[in-house]
Amino acid sequence: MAALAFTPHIQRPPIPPLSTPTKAPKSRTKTRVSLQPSPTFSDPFVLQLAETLEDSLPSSSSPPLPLQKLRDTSSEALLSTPWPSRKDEPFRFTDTSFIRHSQIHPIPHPPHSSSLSGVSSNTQFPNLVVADGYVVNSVNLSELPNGVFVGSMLELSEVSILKRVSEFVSNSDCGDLFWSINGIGAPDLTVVYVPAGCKVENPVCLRYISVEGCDEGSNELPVSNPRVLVLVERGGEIGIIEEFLGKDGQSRYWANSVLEVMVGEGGKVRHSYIQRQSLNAAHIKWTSVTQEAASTYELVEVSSGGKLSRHNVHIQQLGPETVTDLSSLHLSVSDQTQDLHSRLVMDHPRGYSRQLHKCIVAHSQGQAVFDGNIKVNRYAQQTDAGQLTRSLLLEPRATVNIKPNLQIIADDVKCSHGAAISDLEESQLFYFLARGINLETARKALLFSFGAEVVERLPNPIRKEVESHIRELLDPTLKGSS
Amino acid sequence: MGKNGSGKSTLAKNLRKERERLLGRGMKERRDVTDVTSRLRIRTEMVLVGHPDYEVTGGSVVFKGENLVEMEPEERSLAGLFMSFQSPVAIPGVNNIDFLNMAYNARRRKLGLPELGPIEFYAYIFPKLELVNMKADFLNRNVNEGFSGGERKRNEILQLAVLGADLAILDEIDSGLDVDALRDVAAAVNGLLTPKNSVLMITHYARLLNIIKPTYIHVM
Repeated sequence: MAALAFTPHIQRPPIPPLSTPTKAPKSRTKTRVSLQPSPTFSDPFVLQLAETLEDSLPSSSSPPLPLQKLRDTSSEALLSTPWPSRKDEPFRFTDTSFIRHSQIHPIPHPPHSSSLSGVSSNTQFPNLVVADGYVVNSVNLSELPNGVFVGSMLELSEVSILKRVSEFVSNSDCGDLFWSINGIGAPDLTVVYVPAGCKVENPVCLRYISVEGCDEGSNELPVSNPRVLVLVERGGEIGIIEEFLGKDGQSRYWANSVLEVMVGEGGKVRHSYIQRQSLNAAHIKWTSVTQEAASTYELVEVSSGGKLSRHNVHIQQLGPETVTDLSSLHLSVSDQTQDLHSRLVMDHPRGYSRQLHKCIVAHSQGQAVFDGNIKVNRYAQQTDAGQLTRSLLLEPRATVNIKPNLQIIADDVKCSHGAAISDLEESQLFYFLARGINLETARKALLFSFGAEVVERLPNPIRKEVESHIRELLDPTLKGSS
Repeated sequence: MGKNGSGKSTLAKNLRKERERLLGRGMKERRDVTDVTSRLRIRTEMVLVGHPDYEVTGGSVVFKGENLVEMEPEERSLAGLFMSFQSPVAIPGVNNIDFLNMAYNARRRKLGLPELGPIEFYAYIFPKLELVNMKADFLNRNVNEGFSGGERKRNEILQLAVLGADLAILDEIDSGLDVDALRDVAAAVNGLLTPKNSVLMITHYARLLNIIKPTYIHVM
């Protein structure tokens, strides 16, 4: 490792001066002669963005050690990570120019409490509200069992929990540019800690609200970087519901969020993720999960908002006999891109996994992308992995790019994958017609039932809301079709 | 009714040519039916009910004074024609009671009557379940999903009982049923017959006729 000292300032190799808007350029440390080759390509746009994000962080108080470590690792990574282009495989079908060509600026302060007045909280269950990346409100947290902690790391005083958090923050070997941007720009880390053997009955709701936003016509793009770490010790169980929404359904903003989950041995995490961002917003989310032996991780995702929405899922198996169940429903009812890139890495025997991905593209400029990768490595014998993706294309020129892929090295496994892209099934439509139900009602029923397979897996408090939201989204579409 | 090869094919010969022309685009026959004549006969029903695979190039089918050939499938059903499918398709995601509710309300709308909400509809449908000897949990299952052959046939009869029809065409309603299911289905059909409606049953076997006493038998 080269002897580069890490300082809060990014160490940059000499490059032509950038036109930073207001501040004078920082004093640069001299480039040291290093024993390893310097990064061959540093993207000036990325570096400028990193610098802007760093500057926006409160420089007065010294951040807790895990956060500092996270920021340092992320800055190092950003030195050699260019902005993704269509030539990079992970972004082959996803056009990020919407973000790239905007004037990105960070949100240095949490929104004023008055601007949050219209936002209702679900008062039934333990609730945490994160606005523009900052933890602003919490309800019913005292009802949680003893030892469970839900809140900002800055308020975490228990040394034992802090120690565990430091071990795990940004330990994963996954990530891309957006992961590192979150690492640098996250003002805070929200921690959900479940001690060993503790089963939390009610699901914990995390609502991420994007308050600051710009009008449709402008080129500005405020970015928020919420970051959450969920640590479930051995035998613990918890349900997490993440909801992403914008205060204004039409404003422009970029939510770049990261969720890390560590499930201890025999633990269980039921994760529901609902994305309802504004139709002019960019939404990039990372979900990185590590599963110890005999643990269970379930993810149910319903994404219907955002102009560009991407969900990266990375699940690493750390022990045998794990259970992983992923379901997702993506809806593109206007000129939206809904993208799911998932990777499940199995290195231990007798793992069980199922993945169901469904998407409906109901607009001629709508797009859905799916890249489901499952790596069954050498020691993952007797793995049982299944993957199914089904897409409905309802308008001419609507696009779906599907890439299911299984990379199997072990030789005693049961793996399957299937993909189908179609319009609604004619034989089913005809059955409706033959019973006197007209075509419009039949299409509506079949569309809704297509999504229902995923939506019915959501836990009770949130399921009805999501069902009625989807009905609303799918209904106006049908007025246009025959 | 009639034995295999008895000429039921004659009725559908022209339609077969038409179907092969349409299928010539490379679509494969999905059902691997070894009985040629019963395959052809199935197509007749498909024409009557208005399946899009078939295009009638000539002739007419007059039902209660209207030419069925010129009507859309849903219009034919609302006019009082019911056809039970031999292998009804499964519709995962739509449950039986919602499906029946939608179909029933379509009829109510046509007659100018107010539609029934889910609770009122459940009250209406509950006695019909006894008619076909099925339990109430059956209503929450998805249409034909995971149903055995006998259950699918009974589902068709349930739909007939709920929706009502002036002419019900029951296509091989007895095939694939065991003795008990056959008795249930036959009893249900008997219970549905009134002086005001008709049932056209198509079958290979005489055993059904021991329970349902037909008014006419056409042997082909």
